[in-house]
Amino acid sequence: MSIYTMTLKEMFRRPGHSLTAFMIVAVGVTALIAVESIVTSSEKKVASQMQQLGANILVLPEGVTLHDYHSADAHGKSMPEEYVTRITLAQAVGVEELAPKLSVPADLKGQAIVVTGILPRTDFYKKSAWQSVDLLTAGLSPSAIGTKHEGCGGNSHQIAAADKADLSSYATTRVVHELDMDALLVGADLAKAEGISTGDSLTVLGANFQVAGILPATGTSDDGRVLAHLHRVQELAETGPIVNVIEVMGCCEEAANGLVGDLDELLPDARVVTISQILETQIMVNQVMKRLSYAIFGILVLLGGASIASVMFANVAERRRELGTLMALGATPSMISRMILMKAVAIGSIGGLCGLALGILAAYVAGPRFVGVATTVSIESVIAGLMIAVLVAVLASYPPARKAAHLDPCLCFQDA
Amino acid sequence: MLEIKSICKDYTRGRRTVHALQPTSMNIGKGQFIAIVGPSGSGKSTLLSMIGGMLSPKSGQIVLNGHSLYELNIKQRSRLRNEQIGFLFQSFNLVPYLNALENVQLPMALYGTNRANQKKQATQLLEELGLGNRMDHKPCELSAGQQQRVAMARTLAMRPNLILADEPTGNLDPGSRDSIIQAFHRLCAEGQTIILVTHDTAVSQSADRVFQINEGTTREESPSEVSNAA
Ligand SMILES: Nc1ncnc2c1ncn2[C@@H]1O[C@H](COP(=O)(O)OP(=O)(O)O)[C@@H](O)[C@H]1O
Ligand SMILES: [Mg+2]
Repeated sequence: MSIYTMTLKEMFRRPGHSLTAFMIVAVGVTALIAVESIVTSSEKKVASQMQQLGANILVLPEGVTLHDYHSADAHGKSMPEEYVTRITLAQAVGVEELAPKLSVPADLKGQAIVVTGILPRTDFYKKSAWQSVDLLTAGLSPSAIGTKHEGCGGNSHQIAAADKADLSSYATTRVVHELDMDALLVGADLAKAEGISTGDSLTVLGANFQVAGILPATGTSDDGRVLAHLHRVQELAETGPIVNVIEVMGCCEEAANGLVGDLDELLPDARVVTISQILETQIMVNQVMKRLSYAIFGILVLLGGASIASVMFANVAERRRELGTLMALGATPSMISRMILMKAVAIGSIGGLCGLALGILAAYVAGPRFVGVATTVSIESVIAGLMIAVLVAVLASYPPARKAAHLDPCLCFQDA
Repeated sequence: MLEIKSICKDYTRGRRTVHALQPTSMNIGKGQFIAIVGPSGSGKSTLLSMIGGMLSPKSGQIVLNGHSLYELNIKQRSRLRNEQIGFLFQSFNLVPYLNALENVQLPMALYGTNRANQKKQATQLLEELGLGNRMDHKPCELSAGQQQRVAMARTLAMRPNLILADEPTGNLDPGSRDSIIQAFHRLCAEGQTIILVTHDTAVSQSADRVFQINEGTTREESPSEVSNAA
């Protein structure tokens, strides 16, 4: 036996006595880990979207509000495809690519899916039935949609020559170079779930399609959909020449900001929003959550500390005669204070560990379910959570430990 | 082996001072069985605390086997208490969450004896005291007499030079009391020094020497003279 095993025996004799302190520590660590992980993951998602799509602008039908760029077409409202032509004709400075989209519900092997019509680059200038102006005869070069603004290096929206045949470029550039009328691109998740591979024949919207490619996973709603040629989708769904959204890929963020005004003027009946506007709410929510989580954690640290201190003070007072007896038997004051500190460390670390387990669980469950982000718990926050729990326990039990060390050993002669 | 040189003690509570013990001297040899008697509140426990190195006297000196107790620092004094002094209490003072065996191991654990030896020694002591079949019992599962025997085993665990006992038979039935007193006599015969506080005339009459304390004043009497003054 040692004073350490003794301390544990004392603690587990009546675990109920330290339960409140233990629970407050656990809840504090749970809150810290869960909120911190979810917020951090959400911030990362926002940051990566900003980086990936920062220069992009969405042109939406009037009255549409949205919080997620990737499901910008899933609102059921539409606008004329002719807007695409208008933007092209305007030769706006800074526009690199345009990606009109139309999403319609469909049925694949008995399962409800979304088919999204996209317009490949090569068909951009082909005269469509509804087009009043032939873009080629209007003297526009098919190599660029807008004009670059001065001094801009541009970015990755232009499909590199080598990638022109690669339909999976859609996953990164959100446009494809060429797409046959009967070709289908299938999102990674859907392909996996349904066992679809390139070359398969599928019936969608009552017509036969060939799977031309499986898109790499992007972690967005794109992974669960099917992409086909916009005009084919319009034809099969009998929607007429409409789209749900036009993504405007700007060459850089500065250009994007200038473009909003231009596009607003050009398309008075549409709503023009930037990525940062879409993400703004999320950023704000994240900031509030983060502050709130620190505040909650701070309060719980104080409460946890106070309750550990009070539990330990009560414990020392209750054990006066026992501790006096230990001193009579030869325990030094430092042994006595170590026993008290150790008990607090045990409460802190067991509480901290339980909090960690709950926090990690909460982060992985609540993150995807309520916040829509796949959460990862960082090793830093795990270490920080545990260390803070133990540190608070040690600091809070220092005064009671000191008090115990200074107890009068003559207490052992007091009658029970 | 134990020299008590004119120690005294006052307790101060606010403005009031209690003279708990007037200057007291004793010279106690190895193997002596000393009884201290006196009414409640007369200063017996105060004297025992000072001899045990737990309460520094206002003045005077206590020398145990050449160590002047209050010239040692607190750590050295704790160590000396652990190695050389054994305590026995009226209410046994067993640690409630440890079983009999662990209670007996306690002084050895504080000393740093390894586990195997702790266990061996404690088992042997408990068996000698007839508690071989009670080793994993908690104090609350033992009778008063059994508890005091466990406490006795704990007292002897470090083979102390000096045993200080504060009314160890006060809470015991006559049978248990007699077995404790007999154990004391056996120990003394083996050279163990014992200082025992008691109210029990029968016990004090069997001691080698008797000190009577009255309102802090100590006076040695011959054991046969001790009456029911306490
Ligand atoms: N810690 C203390 N503070 C103040 N007075 C004390 C303290 N301990 C004992 N006393 C007083 O000292 C006197 C002697 O006490 P004590 O040695 O416990 O007597 P006994 O053991 O003979 O009953 C008593 O009057 C008691 O009230
Ligand atoms: Mg007393």
